[in-house]
Amino acid sequence: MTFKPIATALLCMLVSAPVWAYETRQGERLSALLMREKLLPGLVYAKTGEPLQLSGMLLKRAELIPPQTLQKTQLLTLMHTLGLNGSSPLGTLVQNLPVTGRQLLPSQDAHEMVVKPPLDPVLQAIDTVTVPARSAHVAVVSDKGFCVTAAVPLTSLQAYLDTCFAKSAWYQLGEGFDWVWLVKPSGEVQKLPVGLWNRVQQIAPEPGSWIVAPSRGGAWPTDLVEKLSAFLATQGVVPADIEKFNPGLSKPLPPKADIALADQVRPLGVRPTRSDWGNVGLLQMPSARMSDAGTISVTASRVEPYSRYSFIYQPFDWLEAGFRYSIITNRSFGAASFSGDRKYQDKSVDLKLRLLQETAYLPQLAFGLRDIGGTGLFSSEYLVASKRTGTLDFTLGLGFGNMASSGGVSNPFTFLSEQFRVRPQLTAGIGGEANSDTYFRGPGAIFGGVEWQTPWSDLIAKLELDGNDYSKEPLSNPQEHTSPFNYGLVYRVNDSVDFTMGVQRGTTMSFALAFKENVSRYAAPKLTDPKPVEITAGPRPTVTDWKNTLIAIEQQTTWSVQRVQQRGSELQLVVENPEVTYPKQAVDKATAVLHENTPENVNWFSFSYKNRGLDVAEHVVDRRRWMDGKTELTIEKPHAEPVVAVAPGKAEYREVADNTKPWYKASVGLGYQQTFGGANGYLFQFTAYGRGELRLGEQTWLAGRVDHVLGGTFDKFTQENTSLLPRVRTQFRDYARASDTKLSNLQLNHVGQLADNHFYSLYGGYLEPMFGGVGGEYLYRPFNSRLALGIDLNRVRQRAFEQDFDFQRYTVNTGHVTAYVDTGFQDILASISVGQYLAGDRGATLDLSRVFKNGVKIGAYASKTNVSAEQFGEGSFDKGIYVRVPFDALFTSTVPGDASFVWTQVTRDGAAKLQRGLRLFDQTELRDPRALSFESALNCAVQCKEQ
Amino acid sequence: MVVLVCISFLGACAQNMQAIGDMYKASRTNDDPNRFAIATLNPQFRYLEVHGPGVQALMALGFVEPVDGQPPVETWYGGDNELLRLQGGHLLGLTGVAQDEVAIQYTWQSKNDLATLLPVKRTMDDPAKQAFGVQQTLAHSIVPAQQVPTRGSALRTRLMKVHQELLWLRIEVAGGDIPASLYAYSPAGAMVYGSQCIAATRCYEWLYRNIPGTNP
Repeated sequence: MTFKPIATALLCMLVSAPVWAYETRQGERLSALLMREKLLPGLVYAKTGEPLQLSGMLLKRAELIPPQTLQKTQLLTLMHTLGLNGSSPLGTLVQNLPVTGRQLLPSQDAHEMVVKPPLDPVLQAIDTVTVPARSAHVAVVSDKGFCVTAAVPLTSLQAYLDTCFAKSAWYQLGEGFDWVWLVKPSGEVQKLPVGLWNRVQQIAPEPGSWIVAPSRGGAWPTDLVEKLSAFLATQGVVPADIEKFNPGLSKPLPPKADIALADQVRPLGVRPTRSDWGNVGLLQMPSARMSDAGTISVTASRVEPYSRYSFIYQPFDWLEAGFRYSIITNRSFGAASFSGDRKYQDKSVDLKLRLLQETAYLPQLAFGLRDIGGTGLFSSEYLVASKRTGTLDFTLGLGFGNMASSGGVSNPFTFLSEQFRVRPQLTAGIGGEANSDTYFRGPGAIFGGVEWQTPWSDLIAKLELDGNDYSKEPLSNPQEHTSPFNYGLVYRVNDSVDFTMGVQRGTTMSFALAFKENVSRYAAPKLTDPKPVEITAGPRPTVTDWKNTLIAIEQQTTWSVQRVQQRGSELQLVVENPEVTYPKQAVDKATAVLHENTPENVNWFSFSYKNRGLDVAEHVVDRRRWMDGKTELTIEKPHAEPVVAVAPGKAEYREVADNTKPWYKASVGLGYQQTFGGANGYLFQFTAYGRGELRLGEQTWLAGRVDHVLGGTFDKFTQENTSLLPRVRTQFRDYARASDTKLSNLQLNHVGQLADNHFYSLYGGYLEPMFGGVGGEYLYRPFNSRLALGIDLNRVRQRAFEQDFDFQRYTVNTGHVTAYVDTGFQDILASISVGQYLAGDRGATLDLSRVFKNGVKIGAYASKTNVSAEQFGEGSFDKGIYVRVPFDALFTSTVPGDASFVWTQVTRDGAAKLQRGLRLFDQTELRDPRALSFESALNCAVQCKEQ
Repeated sequence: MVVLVCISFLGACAQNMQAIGDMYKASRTNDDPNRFAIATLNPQFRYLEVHGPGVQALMALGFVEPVDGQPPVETWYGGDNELLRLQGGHLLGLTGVAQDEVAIQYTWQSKNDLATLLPVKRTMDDPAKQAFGVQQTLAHSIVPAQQVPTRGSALRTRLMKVHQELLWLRIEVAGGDIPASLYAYSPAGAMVYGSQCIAATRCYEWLYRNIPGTNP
């Protein structure tokens, strides 16, 4: 069915399918047409008074006919290869549906388009706009058949599936539906879980929707389902006359409404909640469930005599890791003369790895280690499976160690070795070692339970079988227990806080408060930024007021622009030391200012980034394409990104404006430092600081910082050195207490480039609070490459405790060869460095981190050097976990930099690195192939969740 | 938000103090339900003050669409291009206000004590609640001014302090748990205030700010 525009607003109403077509005018905005025709939400009526469905509006564009014809041909070809020919219900359907040339519209609301031009297409006279009558049907397309039924308000997808296909068949092995693709009248396609094991909440299709429902174990591959859904998305509402060319379709009675018009959509699944140990699980026992990637949780729990504080990270969907402080409140840390009334404290590290994702028939399977290494007081290992049906989530596991002290299951691994029969006793040593010789040893115990999502969406009930026999608790601390069953309730206080209350061991109340946040979704609207520049089309100014233009760019972006230069129709801004979290956003803002202020004949804007004179990267903007994307809804073309990153060029430019900055800069402010981990837990310090920089040349500068302590707890650092290594870090307290005013840093720097991808730096002075000296770094980092290699060499001497100009006697050579690898796998950045550390020990540091699209980084590192565990002291080797959150994700203003949270098990002298203030890898971060992909989570709500 | 600020503070340095201050100021300002009460309004424009779940906005009138046999439709815009549509002072649609979205169609009837068009039925599309084409019947009653509740409503509180002579209309949705809507008309018959719930905890209220003689 095709429509030809004629010179009346209302063209025709098709007899067979009530669809109304409207005249388009060359160059007119769609919003103008919709307002002219009064096609507005809440007001959409045909001239005859019939209500229309605006979401099913088709904007048919001639330009899209060829690609969509190809799309249909590819779909038919794929169907043919799968044996779905023209006589099959699907074949008949696809062959009879037209190629529409529909352009998908993010909004159908003309008044919204008016104020958001990127949502508002500019029409051509040959385009057509049609709006269907309000649809009364929903179509279900499946390998089980093709069905059209009446659309009933408040009716779920499941109800439509039940209506179209006999539900009894769902319970047969291999039958049923796990996922459907909901194709909305607007063309939006959503993949939704509908199985008993995976559905999350009731979803009601809008009238006129298509439900593509491949059956479990059916013959439709995902590729076919996706192509079919994409094709149906071009059709709008289910045609009212669909029966005419699909005589084989079934038309069952309308389904019954099954969604209550209550305040909250009723949950159909069980959301992951925390156990007392902080990881996702039941009450004491873990489950195989995981949180979403990016989730960080802090759980405080109390069940006599244990208070536990757990910090759990979820860097990937398949990995949960974290650490915990357990306080045993009926045991003292030591003799009263030594530790006063301080209670016994134990640190532990946990890990849980998902081995298998749940399917219709198989459970989710995970493997976990609790209290890895250290004193191993609660050391346990487990294999656990979780399987959900509706609002019940069942867990069954086999544990070893502390969590399985009730025993009862002989070790199943004895067929591998007799050593698995007995679990060796751990000696309370120096901690930090993995204790791997105890893993999965000794008798096991079955544990498990069930979680029930109650009809109240905020309440989950838990019942578990505890594998622990509390009469065998460590530190000779038996606890009364009368029942192996624990039970409790989890109440969701809000989206970030859960409160759990339960009864454990048959005798003891338990309480837990869990805070959780998904840092990969952190974003803050920029309420206090300068107002964004309005982007307009039309004539441009003939001359540019560069002074005000550059001020506007610097205010919008936080950049420092050094100069403006031109080459033909390309205008280039040289940007000094750009420090932005979201480079693409800064490019957009700068381009907006340039576009509004520069003449028509400039076709290209480029931004050349110079970090301390180093040619780091260039971003080039195709002005016309960029403007089209900002001022109208364009037809998406593959490979037509208006902003691209290129390697810095060597072309000659003519200077247009100079914006050289002063040769010095200085600032004062409040500083804050903290350490977390170690024997003293959390220590912090506030300082007032002054810092300054003198530029001695484009690539040479002197930088310094003076701090004055205002207050804090750094002087409470009490840890005594038990390692046999030079005390390079553990004299922390002496550095904290010797003086209130400190020269934290004063160094002369020089950087340069040996060739395009080869960078170097030389530096000397008081490099960090504890060491001064000289050093240099070389970095090989090709542009847009996933690999980089660096070498740093330093000759340093330990500074005086007062952090003035004096030094102590200890001198050392330190440096590393570091390889940086962007693995391309789940955004993992790996760096491995090999070399000599401050204490003269030699070894390697491995750092693995995940950088989310919003710039948040979650990582862990471990260093192993050639000192023995005894020489190293408590912890045996250096390790830690960290989170870095860009300020841009937190604040309502655009601010460079990030907030870091680092947890180290204990501060030791071994594997200690020089804290170099100037690192070439950081200076060249715009060479990262992902640089332009980072964006605020406000812009990528869907993609950021999916990554 | 407190958690975010705390985390951000870890390792923060002074260059961000300004940003922290800005954010604090913004959050303080955003929380104050009377922050628009003293705003200077441009007499060239018409304004609507809108309060909803966690959001307050001062909106400006963008479009007025006359509709045959029905009250005209007013489209109001907020500072972030969020959009609220009223028909005869009754909520017709929301786009982006408190990240909410709803579209309502009314059936109008004119025989009433106010001698004005009033909705008697509505059909609601509410994607957030998975509700499309939900039809509801509406019942009207006049409420004495002294019985109008002000608790929990900064706009009604402000309005009642200044105007006691308003005519208050209550509209109830038959057979649901949705709280009743309230509307206030000036003695001249102009709508001054409206409050309407889409669901029990998704209630919006609005105040026409510069209708002559009615600005509180």
